[in-house]
Amino acid sequence: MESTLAKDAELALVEATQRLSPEQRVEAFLAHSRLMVELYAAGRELRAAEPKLRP
Amino acid sequence: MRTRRPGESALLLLDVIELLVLEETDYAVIGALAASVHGVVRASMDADVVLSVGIRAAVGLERTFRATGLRTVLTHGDIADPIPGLLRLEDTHDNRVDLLIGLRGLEAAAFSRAIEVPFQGMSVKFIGREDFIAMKVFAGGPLDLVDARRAIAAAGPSLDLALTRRLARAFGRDAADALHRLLES
Repeated sequence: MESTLAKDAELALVEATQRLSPEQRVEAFLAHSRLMVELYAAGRELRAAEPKLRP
Repeated sequence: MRTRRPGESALLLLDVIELLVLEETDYAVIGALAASVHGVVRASMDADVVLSVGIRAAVGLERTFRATGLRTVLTHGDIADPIPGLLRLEDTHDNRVDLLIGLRGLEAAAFSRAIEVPFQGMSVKFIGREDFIAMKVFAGGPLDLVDARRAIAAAGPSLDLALTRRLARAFGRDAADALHRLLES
């Protein structure tokens, strides 16, 4: 089953991206990748600290 | 080296491209970076590039990249593998660039159709939109098909449908059928 809402949301995402220039999109890729790695590292640190928090 | 931390494969790519240009090796950026140019921005841990060279030249390239301090691994595809070889390059921050040593079904003209995008003061060659879509329907994974669908949506009426269909057919029946389904949906 295909969701019209999901399809509309994806089209809006595509349109929003296309308002950026190709150069801005590549810069956004770099920023997004840096943030993703930071988020992953933060989650890993939290998981590593978890056992110490448990009684 | 431009990289300072993890998550900067796009910057490692610039170092790699500088060397490829020095070695007079034609290339085109593919993968998530190309998806960001042709469709929607999405993060990735690596940068993917297809080269116009064969395995023999890749052996020399591996030596050249290793001499710069990068970790390198050159693997060979078997006879049935559409990718004849893969040269993986990694820096000390685990940023990674994968160089595909050709791709069966990809036209040599794909390199002349590549588009140039400025990035961090350099001009970077990205695979053209129609070639990108054809490669994605050939790869055929769920994320590949999402990338292809978004690139088609972003292109709108400017997409060269006849070229895209021809390029997909060059990758085989499955790719042509997958493209047909995407265009019909």
